Amino acid sequence: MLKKIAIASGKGGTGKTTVSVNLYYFIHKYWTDKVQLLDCDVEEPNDLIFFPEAREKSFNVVNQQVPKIDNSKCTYCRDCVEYCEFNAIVVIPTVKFAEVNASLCHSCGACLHACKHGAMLEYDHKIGEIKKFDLGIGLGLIQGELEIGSSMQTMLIKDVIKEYNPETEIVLMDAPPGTSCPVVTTSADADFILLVTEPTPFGLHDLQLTIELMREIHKPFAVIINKDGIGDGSMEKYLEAEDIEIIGRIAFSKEYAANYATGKILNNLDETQDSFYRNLVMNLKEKLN
Amino acid sequence: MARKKHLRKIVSPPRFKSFKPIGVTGRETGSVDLLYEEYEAIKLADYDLLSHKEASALMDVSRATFARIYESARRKISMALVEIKEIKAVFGNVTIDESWSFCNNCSARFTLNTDNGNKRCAFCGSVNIKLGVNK
Amino acid sequence: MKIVISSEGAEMNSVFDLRFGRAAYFCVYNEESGITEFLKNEHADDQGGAGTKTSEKMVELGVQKVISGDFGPKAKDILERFNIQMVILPDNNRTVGEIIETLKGK
Repeated sequence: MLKKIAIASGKGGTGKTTVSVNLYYFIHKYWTDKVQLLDCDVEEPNDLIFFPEAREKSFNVVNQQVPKIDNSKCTYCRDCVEYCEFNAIVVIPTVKFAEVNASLCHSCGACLHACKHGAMLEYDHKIGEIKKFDLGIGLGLIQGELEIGSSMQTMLIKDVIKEYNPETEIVLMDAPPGTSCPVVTTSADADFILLVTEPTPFGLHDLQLTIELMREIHKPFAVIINKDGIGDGSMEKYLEAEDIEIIGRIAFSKEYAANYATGKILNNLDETQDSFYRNLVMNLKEKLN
Repeated sequence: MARKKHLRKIVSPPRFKSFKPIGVTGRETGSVDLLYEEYEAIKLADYDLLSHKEASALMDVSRATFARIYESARRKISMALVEIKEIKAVFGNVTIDESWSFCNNCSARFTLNTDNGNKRCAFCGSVNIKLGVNK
Repeated sequence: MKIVISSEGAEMNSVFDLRFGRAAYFCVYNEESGITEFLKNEHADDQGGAGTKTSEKMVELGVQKVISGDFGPKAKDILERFNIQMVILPDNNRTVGEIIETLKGK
């Protein structure tokens, strides 16, 4: 039975990637080898860095359909302008000017519907790439890479999520930081959300926003406190008052940060880490079954 | 990774590649790299005699950032004078928007259009202007 | 010549608005007749593309010069193509009336 787990955080740098990469490894070790990792942080995917053995298996380009106005057919009636929610179309009848601004266009297709004169054409505008990697273990990694300057994160993320292997039993989705559309898109499809946070005032502030979001979209979630031992006690107080489950704590370690920085988080696994993630995997297994 | 520097707007780059001290006997004394934005800061503050607030607005940076750029420019120039170094003009972190003209009288910036005379400031009418490039 | 000045309010003593696409009002000043008219900017609160739409409006109005505090790249692109002159004034709390006086005096 397919289960999807999203790893989100609110604040950046709290440990989404650390948890995602480790979970992938330990789910493979203690649960099932039919596990796949999706890097949904399409603006800066980085899960790949931690798998030095990765081999690229396939890649495909993701396009967005952008409308274009055929000036020979356009009657400058401005119907398309009225339909466009995003102010992406400029039509100035007095000077017979009509143009679509691709950087404002969201590819909603409303203008194609609006035009009664067949003057709206469509062309492909590249928004990014999806790459699949074999990681030696499990069913591999899929990552989206957004074109620089494109604002179509959500569209690319949706495509990344669609690409998972049909045989897979567990899909891990490493979400981008924040609480905006890309995070909603990643979480909307998940059966369970792991919120990774750090016990600092910044971590708490952004966690609160993320928890509000999770409640709004009615998703079950639990919190992992990373870098445990730093900061003040406000995080604990908040979680206790709100009755939110802490599913795990990862102690702050400078040595670990140094390993992370060199891309070696899966090379130096010790007993503490092993047992931590084994517990987490078992816990998740119980929750999801 | 350090955050990318917000690009500083400059109206026109320095019109020299380098200033070299002459009449120096003996050895090479090295050079300092004066960035375009540092040149612009010196020009706006000490040549055009704008306040830091006005100058920072023109360069599209905060007043504090302008002050930092300006300070750095002065240190480099004074170092070059005292230690007899060449001053090289180096690109730096700038965006050059040549389509803007600048009025030395009222500090307005304006684009040129094809049919006006382009000899006067589009706002105050002063002839004391630095012309940009007509696109 | 028709000149537009971005304005925070609909009166001659309103402060000039530093934003173009998201200015609250536009004062349309006709140099020949000396008549001024204030138009509300319908795109001031749009999600995106305010500069584009406002520039479109300028072309429709037949404006030849626009005075504001800055112009975004999309607005600049359209204004440039229709040969509309852009003027950027530094921020010093001038009123629309004062700006028009300067224009008259040049």
